[in-house]
Amino acid sequence: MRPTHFAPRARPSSVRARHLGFAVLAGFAALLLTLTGCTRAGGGGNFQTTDITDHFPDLRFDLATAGNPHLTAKDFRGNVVLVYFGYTHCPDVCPLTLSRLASIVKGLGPEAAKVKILFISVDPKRDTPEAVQTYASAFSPRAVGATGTPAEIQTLARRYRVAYQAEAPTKGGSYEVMHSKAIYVFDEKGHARLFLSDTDTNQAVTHDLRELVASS
Amino acid sequence: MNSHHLVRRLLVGFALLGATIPLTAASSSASSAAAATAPAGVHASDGWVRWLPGTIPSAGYLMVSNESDKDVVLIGVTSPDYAMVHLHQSYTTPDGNSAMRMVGALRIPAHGHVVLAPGGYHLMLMRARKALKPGDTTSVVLRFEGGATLSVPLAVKPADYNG
Repeated sequence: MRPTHFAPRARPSSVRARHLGFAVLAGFAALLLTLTGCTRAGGGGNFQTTDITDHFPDLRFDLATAGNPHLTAKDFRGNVVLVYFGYTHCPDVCPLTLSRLASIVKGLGPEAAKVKILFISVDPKRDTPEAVQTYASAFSPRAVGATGTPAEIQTLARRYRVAYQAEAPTKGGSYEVMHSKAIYVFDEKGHARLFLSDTDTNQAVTHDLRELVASS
Repeated sequence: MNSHHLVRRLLVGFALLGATIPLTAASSSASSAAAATAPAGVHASDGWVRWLPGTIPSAGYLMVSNESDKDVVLIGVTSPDYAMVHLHQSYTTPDGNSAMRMVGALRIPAHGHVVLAPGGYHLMLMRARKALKPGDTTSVVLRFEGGATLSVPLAVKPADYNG
């Protein structure tokens, strides 16, 4: 699902009249970008995926990963970061997305050294920081897995308009977690730049990541 | 989409609507089930499972073809290597989120096939009885309405395998 279509991009000297509309469901939000099409003054790329520059909060978090209880956005400065929310007991869709991102990043060649994948678990009840990191590492050496307390994850998900909801457990106690399919890309300074959906082709994503790496 | 496809989709959809029986593996049934005969004209191919670290569930994929003149209904899956196997379906909610549901039965229409592939139908393989690694081969036993069974090898692929 592509949330929006863009008008031809303008370069306004004063940047205004942009807005994001979000539909809230069950206390969380489903993304409905209603961008009018614009670009960061002086630094816009010719993007083929959805440009969210100036429409989305900068990368900001304090989470735990294996061996680091306070992983923050500062640890990612200098890297283009692809952020995806999921959980490790997700055997189908999360691996599908992560293997795709891993393949795209690997395909960047030397530029992959300036790109990281951040996989954030929305299932902190089951996922330890170590488990999320181990899971993320199985897909890519450029992947970092992190999680936090339920309150921290909730705050983060709200900030980035990411929906998630644990379903009722089965008799065996296992449960599924409904979660957003969104992938957000932040630039080397932590500014939000792109929204990727599963309808974006690998070629388009690769093109845009190269643009971001080149402009950093 | 031609009418044939539409009919097949409707049949599958109908099977799903009526599905209430959870596909829970009984650990003792795997070997005896494997000894039963496969339904005539039914084949499975392209079986693989995505290796994941630790003890979390893995997903298995395959294609089931039915060259016979009668529909067959997949009603259960077991594995000698996993204590529990469920048939699941990933789907996108109306809000664009990703979710999974358990599927009780899956109809494979006459002269048709059903594909289990990433992002759609898949086998949820839980509680591995032994450590598997990429390069290994595991297997599942498909159990059909009427008692016929079919053993299918699944190649264990690395986590980042892209199908």
